[in-house]
Amino acid sequence: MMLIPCPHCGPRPETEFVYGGDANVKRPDPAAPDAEWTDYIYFRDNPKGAHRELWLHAAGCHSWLTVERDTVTHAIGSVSYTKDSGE
Amino acid sequence: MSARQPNRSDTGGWLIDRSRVEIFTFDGREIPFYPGDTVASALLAAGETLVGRSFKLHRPRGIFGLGAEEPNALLTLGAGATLTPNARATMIPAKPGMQVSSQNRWPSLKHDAFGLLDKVKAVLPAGFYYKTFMWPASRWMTYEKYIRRMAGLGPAPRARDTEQYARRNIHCDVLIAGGGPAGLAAAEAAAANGQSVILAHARPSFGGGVHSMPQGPHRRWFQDTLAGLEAMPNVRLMTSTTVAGYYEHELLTLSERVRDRDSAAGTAPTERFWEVRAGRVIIATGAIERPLLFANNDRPGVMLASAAQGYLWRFGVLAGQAPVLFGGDDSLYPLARALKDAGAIVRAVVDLRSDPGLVAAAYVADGGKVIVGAMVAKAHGAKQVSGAEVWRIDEGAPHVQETIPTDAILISGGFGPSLQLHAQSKGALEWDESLGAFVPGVPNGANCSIGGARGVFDLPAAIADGVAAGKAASLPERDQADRPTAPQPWELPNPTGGIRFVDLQNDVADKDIALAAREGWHSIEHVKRYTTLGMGTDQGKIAGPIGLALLAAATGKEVAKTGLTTFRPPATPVTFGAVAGGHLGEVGHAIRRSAADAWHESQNAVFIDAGLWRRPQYYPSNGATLGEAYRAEAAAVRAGLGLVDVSTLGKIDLAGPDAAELMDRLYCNTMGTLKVGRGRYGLMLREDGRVFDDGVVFRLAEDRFHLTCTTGGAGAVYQHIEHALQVLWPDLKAYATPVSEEWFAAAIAGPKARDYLAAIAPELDVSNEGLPMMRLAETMIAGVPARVMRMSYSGELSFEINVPADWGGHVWAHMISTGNSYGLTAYGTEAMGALRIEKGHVTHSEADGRTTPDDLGLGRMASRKKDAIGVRALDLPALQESGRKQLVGLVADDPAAAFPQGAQVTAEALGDQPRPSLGHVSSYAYSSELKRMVALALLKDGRALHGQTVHVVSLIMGVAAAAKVTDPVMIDPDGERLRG
Repeated sequence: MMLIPCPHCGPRPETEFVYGGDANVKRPDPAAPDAEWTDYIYFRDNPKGAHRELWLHAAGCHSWLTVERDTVTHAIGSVSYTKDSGE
Repeated sequence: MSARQPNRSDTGGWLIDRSRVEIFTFDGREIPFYPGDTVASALLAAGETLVGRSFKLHRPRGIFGLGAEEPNALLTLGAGATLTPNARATMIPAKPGMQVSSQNRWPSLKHDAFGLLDKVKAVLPAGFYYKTFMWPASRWMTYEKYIRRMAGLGPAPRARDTEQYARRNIHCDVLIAGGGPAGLAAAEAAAANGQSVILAHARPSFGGGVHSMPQGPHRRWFQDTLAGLEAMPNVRLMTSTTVAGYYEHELLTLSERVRDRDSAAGTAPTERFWEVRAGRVIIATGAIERPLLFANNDRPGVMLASAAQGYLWRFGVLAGQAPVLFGGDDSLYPLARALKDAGAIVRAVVDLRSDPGLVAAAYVADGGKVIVGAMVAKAHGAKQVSGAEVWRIDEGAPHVQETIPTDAILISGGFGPSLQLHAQSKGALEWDESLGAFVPGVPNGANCSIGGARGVFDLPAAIADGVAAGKAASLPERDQADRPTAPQPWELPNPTGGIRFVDLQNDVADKDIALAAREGWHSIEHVKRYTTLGMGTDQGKIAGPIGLALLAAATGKEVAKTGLTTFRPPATPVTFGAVAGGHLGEVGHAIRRSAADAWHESQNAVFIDAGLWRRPQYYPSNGATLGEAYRAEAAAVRAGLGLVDVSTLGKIDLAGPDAAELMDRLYCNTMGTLKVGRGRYGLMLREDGRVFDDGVVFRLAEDRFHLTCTTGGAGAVYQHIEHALQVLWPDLKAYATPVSEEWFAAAIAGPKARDYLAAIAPELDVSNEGLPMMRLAETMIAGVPARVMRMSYSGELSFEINVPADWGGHVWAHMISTGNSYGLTAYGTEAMGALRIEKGHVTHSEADGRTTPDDLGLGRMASRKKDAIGVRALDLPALQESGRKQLVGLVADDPAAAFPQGAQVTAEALGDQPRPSLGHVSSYAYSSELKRMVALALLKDGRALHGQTVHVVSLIMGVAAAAKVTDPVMIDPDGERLRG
């Protein structure tokens, strides 16, 4: 079970979190064509290795976090508040 | 030696206390033992060679190993409520009075009726069951019960387990798995550096391989080291504790056997399950000896040489009175000498090497018999080995040398590291050509393998490993052994052509693997499943590497490229009780109770789970059934006045300068225009356009909203809102607070609701003008500040009353007592469901994750004038196409007809022919108003079917009923009652 270092609560077990998927996808403009929306709604990469992803600390501070995780080794790199990502 | 312990020797016995003899029973017979014995060592000492029948073929089996790798000696401990099946005799300490039984035999171990299966082994090859019994499918039902009786392990206990189990969570700097020499050395070195250390050892006493050796300086080292560790406050020493699982980021699970079942209970649990989060992990779980293949290599009396060595030195037990030793390296000779010194007549050492060298020569010079360049090709005997048929294989074609009378064949095919924990942690594995074994490669995570667990079998080198690992220094270079001159176990010929078992626990023979390869199974993962190789409770600790090498040979691949099967926790079996710990019953399933729960219980309400909440499903007054009760409750609402506890509905407070903007983005319909004090029904969508949740929203202030959502959806909706606020639009200034538990909520419904409300809320203007639909008012009820919201789920004139949760019980009691003169009837979720079905209101049965607003007849709610989650997807072509399932009402033609559960809907009545399904019934109930069954259904292009007759059918239940398709709103379509 992974240990995710929550910037607010400290290292906490994975069972306190809810997975939120790929952090790199961006919600398109409503005027964007169907293809772009279909891509956003239905298609995700499934990379082997480095992955930027969202986790909600549901049983903790309720922060949505952007976590860098290696999908093979589960090694966790940086963790930050998604709200502050400024993108 | 005594008559009762014919195989007990005066030599050895480091772990036993010979000062007193105790007794346990095995299949009812008394077995004497010394304190410190395992069940296996006591059985061996007593001459109980035959201990079980094999899984598939019911062949007689004896004790084969010394520890957790044991494939044969699986026994049942205890009976009734404390029965534990499939216990490894090699791992269970013998205790006085213990009741031990053999398994998988009928009527008795010695005379097993299914033993004749062995005679037909030829017709039970790999995949036999798949090929033979699975077709025709109808016959499988016939075969299955017989097959289940024939093939199996111990019985599952039938009585509820009366034992206590505990769970603990703990952190440490270093967790060391295995308390043999390497692990002890590692613990000492790590602890000396001030680190907090857990040393877990599967057996009752530390030492491991130290106890499988004669007297020597290592014993003093062991005693001093252990005494030192016991004195250190930063070391937790755990015996009888197996490290079962290694999960991500150094979380490990440990299974600790605290005391024996059936023993005096006291306050201690039977087992304790530990979750350990370690800074780093040192794997010192040792090595496992590999067997050698020859015909009938499963006969009782065939045993791993290292096990025989262990039984001698640990327990003073001889594996046989006249053993033959068979292997390919020098370790055979000291064992032969030791057995001889302990009183055994060593018949011969059969050495695979044609020129074994000095150690063998010295043994011969001392009068020992050695047959070189030879192998044991076949074991004679059935319920016990009676002879070893020795063939020469070093000159020309293999030929028979002689058959040596013997009662034990002790075999050694070299050692391989115990890889379970390293592999579970997803560390890499490397094939070591010189060892002929996989060894740990680059680790994944903060761990290292030391000693036997990385292929370092020499005692001083293993201790050096431990010292280095304990200090977190790099490990010494591992000595690369010369490639052995003897053939590997899987390279041996089979000159007699007899059956050679690879996996003893699952009865998988070498030819099964060859057959699987011929039939095209080339991946070891497939071969495992096809042949059941390594699928036993021993997880193929012995069989795995041999089976793999045989597959590699059969498919012409290198072993290294064939790879191992995935290692999964637990490394050794863990009881369910230990994993569950105290999380049973209410402790394992927390219950949320509304503030009026005590009243519901006092009325003998039947409860139903709604998420963690429990809600009254119905109030069975005068012994009414569910059906009788909900019909009466629903009828009382329509005719007069009903009261329902709706506290479980999700409630979220949304506030901030951008709250209105956020509301417009969360709901597909417009919310920003809502006036303060007014409410509106809203639909939230997922981004893919499907309905996510629904509920009524009230605007409390310009910058503040009160959201309600479904009971089951409350948690997900809150997460969804946080996602919108933190991920999608972090620039929006608003914040959400879940307040479901802050409020007690009750709804009153029925024609008398207004009169009644006037009585309980005397300060409130309850007139239609003073409190119209979807309006919120604040007042006092029973001396408590309350919010009154006029809204209706039942379709009747209805008000929802919210008060602070702490006052809920008080207010509810006041409402009940005031209600008597109004004929107030409390109703449960079942009646509430019937009322909403009549009105066509959807729940998650209809908003099931597949339906869009339009599918539910709510398409006009989705505003296209603003951006809201899920609205853009509604324009995607797939959601615009015809043929989608649409919500309709169904009203039974026949008032006496019943609607079956899980029903499909067809256009024509069922005949002999299958009929295409138009869709399915999502909810159904008896309508007290229409006096017949009604349902909501999702039918293909359903709105076009209004007025038509369809058939509500269940092939499983054999029920069908004709019904009319209607608008989902089946009563009071204009809403006159609720607006009145």
